[in-house]
Amino acid sequence: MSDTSVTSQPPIPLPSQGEIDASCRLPILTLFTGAALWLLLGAIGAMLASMNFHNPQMFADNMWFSYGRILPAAKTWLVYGFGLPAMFGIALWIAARLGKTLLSNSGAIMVAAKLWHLGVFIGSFGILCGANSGHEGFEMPSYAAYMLLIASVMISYFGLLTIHQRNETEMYPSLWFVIAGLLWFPWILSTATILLHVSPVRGLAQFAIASWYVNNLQLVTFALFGMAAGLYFMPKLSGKQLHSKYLAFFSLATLVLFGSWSGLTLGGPLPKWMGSLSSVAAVFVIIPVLAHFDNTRRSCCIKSSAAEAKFFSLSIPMLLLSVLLAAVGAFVAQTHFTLMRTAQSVLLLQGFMGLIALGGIYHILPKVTDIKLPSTKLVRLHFWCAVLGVLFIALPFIFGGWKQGGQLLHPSGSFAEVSKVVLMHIRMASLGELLWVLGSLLLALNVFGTAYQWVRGIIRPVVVEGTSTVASQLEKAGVKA
Amino acid sequence: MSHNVQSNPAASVNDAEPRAGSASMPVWMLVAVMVLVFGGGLYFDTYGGWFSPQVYAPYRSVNDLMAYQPVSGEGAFLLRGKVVYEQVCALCHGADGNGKPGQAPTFVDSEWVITDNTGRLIRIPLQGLNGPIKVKGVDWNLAMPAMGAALPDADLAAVLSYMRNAWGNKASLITPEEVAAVRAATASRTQPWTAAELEALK
Amino acid sequence: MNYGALIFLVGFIGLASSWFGLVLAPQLQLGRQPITKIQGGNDPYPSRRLGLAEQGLQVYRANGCVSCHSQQVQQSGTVFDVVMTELGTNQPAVVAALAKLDSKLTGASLSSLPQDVVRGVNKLQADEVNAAFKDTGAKVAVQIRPVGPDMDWGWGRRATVAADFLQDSPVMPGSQRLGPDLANVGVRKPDVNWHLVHLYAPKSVVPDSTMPPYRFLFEKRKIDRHASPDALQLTGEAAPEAGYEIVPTAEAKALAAYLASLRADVPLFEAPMTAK
Repeated sequence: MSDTSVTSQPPIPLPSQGEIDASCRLPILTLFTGAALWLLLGAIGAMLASMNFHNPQMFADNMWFSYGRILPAAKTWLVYGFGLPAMFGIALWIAARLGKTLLSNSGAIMVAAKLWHLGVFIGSFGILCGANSGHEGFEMPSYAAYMLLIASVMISYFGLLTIHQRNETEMYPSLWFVIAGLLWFPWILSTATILLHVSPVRGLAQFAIASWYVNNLQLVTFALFGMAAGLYFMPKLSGKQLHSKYLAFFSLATLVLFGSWSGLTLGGPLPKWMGSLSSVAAVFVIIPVLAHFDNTRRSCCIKSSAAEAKFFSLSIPMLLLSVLLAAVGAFVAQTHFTLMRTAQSVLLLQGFMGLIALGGIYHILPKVTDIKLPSTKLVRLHFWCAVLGVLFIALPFIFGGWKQGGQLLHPSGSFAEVSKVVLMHIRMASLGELLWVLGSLLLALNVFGTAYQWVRGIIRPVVVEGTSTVASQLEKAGVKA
Repeated sequence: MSHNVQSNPAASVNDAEPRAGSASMPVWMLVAVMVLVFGGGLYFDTYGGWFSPQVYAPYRSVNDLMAYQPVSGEGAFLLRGKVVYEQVCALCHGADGNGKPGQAPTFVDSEWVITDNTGRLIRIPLQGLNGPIKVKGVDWNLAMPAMGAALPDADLAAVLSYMRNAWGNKASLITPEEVAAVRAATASRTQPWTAAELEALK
Repeated sequence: MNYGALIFLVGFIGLASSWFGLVLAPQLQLGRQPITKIQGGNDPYPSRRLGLAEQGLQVYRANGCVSCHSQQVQQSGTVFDVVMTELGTNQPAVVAALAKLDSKLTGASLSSLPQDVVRGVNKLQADEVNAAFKDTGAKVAVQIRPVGPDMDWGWGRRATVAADFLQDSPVMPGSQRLGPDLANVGVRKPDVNWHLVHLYAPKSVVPDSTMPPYRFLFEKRKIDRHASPDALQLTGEAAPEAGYEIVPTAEAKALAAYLASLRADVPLFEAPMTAK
């Protein structure tokens, strides 16, 4: 065998797409079914929170549904329960598909996903019971944060391992964003967990670090995964080539550089330099979003026949609107402390992240389970519910917030003037929350329908086998009676 | 091979992975970034407070803040001294005046600081001090740079007066005129002082 | 070219830079900030909250009050006022000086000092006015006054700074104002009982309030021979039916104590103002 050279060995066959999808099946099912459940709970929770503005007496005797408890719980369900698992699932599947390799250690990833969902469960119900940590955007109690940290480290590790083991050496731009996202999320979560829970820093440093973490989660991490998804799905579904990988690299570099600095506000109780630097970065972060928009619009998939295509196309204008609002809001005092900030958050989390997550779930779930979605009509209906839902929340909040800011800047005798101005707009937004609940129900129908089919597909042969008559079994064994 | 692929027709249709094109980056975007960064830098320079933890909105800098401090006369002078001390001397000698072992001696109850022979004290920041020196019974042998040479007379007088009246110290104030006189008298001196030379001064 | 390493480097550098700037630097500057002294005095600031108030902070946190209320006062500028505190013996000189300055203060009001000589001027003008009275024997004081919409609302006399939060954990400056700012609510409403009634039935003390009632923080009890000393004094719609009383739970009392303790109105170097 001494003259056997490497070139004479037959090449190892690349796994087929079906095999890759099958290797992703268990983790993705775990991640997406949990995500669908948390999205539904989150939408209902947000709906209940907005009920407080229709009738403040409604939950006066009920601790769990009071505004200050149900709203953080709903946000936790949306971001940590729905958003991150969906994004992880999309990232892992894209990594496996683009690398043309099986997902590494999918059993371990499934365990991590279960740990993640357990952490969200404990964390969100902890918030309802009063273990709110006090940090906006990171309200879960410490024990839940530790669980999410372990789970995310595992998911990131195996995701990066999959990319390392890729067979396709040419890296498609989506992989760059996935690497950055898988690297960044455990980093920011561990920083926040250690500095806010394990060994809390003193005084206002907590606020700076919590704001940094929340911005890096909601803007940077979601944008990294979301841009990865956009760069992958939009050319794929439209059949056109991605316009420019250099532009994609530019988006990545500017996003990580500028996006991670934004998030603190001007004029707050922090020293001036922090707010100034952050506000300047908030303006700069428009650049990567514009670059990404420019890159993907040429392979826009809005006319694709796939039901999930529209989700991806509409997500990018939502992101653009959100960062524009944030940039303007950073410098315009009339937007501080108002609903405009909530509007910007809704556009980012439900508009951009939510649409991408939904599109990804609808595209990937049928592929990995090898089962058609129960109804693509519901998918199209969900698209309209989601987009209209976001618009019906964000637009009243923008106009209401602007008016609220005007009242805040021009004090009258009573604060009731401010509340009055805001009330009608919050009530209008309840319609948007309702649409979002409806959409989540549609997602749950499709996702759990698929899951049910999958479970049935496993159990049925076993049941059939176990309940068949002795005669048919003997016949199968080739024994003639 | 896994499940029956035909059960999901969508799987085999149009499932080619996307490809990336190589269109070049639009130059205007790079130019826009550079313009924005420049503008942002300008903004931060004016409104950023230059990383000072003491500057909060709406003040622009520590100097700006000084105008609003509610004191006048001697209080203002000592406050100016405190501000200059924290900017220039506190890095080595500590905001509490205790110094740092191996780096800078203490000022608290130090005979060199509360001395009546103010000429000795003024010369140290003006030209620097090298070599062995005994401070409160402890031997030091380091090199202090001429940190006060670039300060205006009023600021140097203020910071020395602050040191002589802070942290429990009690001594007379040093006036800008005294500092100006010492500066003129030592104008030709370029070498740092030694403790022996300073002790020989009357 | 294997882009993997380059991507890793770009991501690492870009993201690490913000860690240095917005995590490490705040910890070095704010997390290690020593307790300062009130300007012009020797008392440390801030002092620790008393026990019940500190427990109230945890109740505030658990109920998510930060979702509607902020605790950060902002100011848009600082101005000077010159106030005459003593007339002295040379009234004609004072009147002459006042006339020269075109001040609104006339001879008639000089009998009921202290009175403002000028309000809302800058430092140069304030120093000029101060100098104008140097030889008249009258005592004038230059006062520093932060201004801004938050001051007009009465939410505070100066902007909130990092020193105000040094004794609290967690720190909840808030980002929404669906309700008024609470940084100095202990100055406006120092009465614990007002807070208790407000928590139970906001509309009974603030007529147009949209705040939800927090009745789950209270207990409705049958009056057992005498009314409990803790029972809330309620009138109108909010009052329970005859024979029943509303008693605050320990959490409600703690929360009310915390709210009554909220104040941040001392002058500091980084937030100067004239103390009253």
